[in-house]
Amino acid sequence: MLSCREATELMTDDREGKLAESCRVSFRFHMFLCVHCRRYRRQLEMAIAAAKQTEREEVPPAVEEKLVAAFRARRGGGPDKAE
Amino acid sequence: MLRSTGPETSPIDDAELVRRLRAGDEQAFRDLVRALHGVLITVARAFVGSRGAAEEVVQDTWMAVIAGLDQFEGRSSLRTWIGSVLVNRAKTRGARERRAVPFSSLSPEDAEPIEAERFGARGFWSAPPPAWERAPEAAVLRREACAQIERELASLPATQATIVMLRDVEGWDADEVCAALEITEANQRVLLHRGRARLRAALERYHSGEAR
Repeated sequence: MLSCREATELMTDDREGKLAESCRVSFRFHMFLCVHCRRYRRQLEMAIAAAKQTEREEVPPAVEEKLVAAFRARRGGGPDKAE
Repeated sequence: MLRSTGPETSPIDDAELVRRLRAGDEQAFRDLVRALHGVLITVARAFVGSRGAAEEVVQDTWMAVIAGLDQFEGRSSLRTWIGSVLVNRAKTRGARERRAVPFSSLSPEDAEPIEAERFGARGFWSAPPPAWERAPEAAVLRREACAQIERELASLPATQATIVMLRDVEGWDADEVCAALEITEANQRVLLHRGRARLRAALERYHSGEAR
């Protein structure tokens, strides 16, 4: 039987649909039997869900204005005919 | 209006966005910068030595994107293209700083995602994951958990942080990440797995009341 350590290592592969057919059966069987690994997987999902909700770093206003100014200077006149 | 469906960052129709950018639509450009700047900084940090260098690389990238919009052929998504413009620049900069190219091999800090002591000799749990008592229903707990995740993201090895950021925070799919970073799908998956395992471990510490 697959060990718990092996099962935890396969969880991302399984979630990504990348488990080889030969592994899949033993992985599913392990998960069916092992309450600890099922809990581990639930907690991984909770971590992924929490990551989705983290704040994204904002662009500093001064940098944003500088970039927009560069954009305006280059593209302000519409499609670039220079190239 | 970069995000269309739900909280995930999936680009609006790229063709439409590119058309607006080429026509000089400032708001479209502003939205694009706001949507991508933070994640570009994270990606750049994996390649260069300092925060300041990463910021320079990202600003150079935007300049190159502005100048090169007409060369974008739509063979990848716009954000993947911008990501690869960044990665090329960051690699050059990293080489100048004589830094090893990240993502090319697993570093020691990418060690086993679960401490070996938690498994017995045959690889079965000896210290299984405890149940998390502090159910995340209350908004305040959710915020605390998110803060814990944010701290852990900031302390992950830069390669893992980059992958987790792109995949789980920004919602890129595996193909986009691999194309932008020029890494193999298997390498991407290993780093994603290890990064997520660390985030889970951070939540475990949070739930067991261990302050960090």
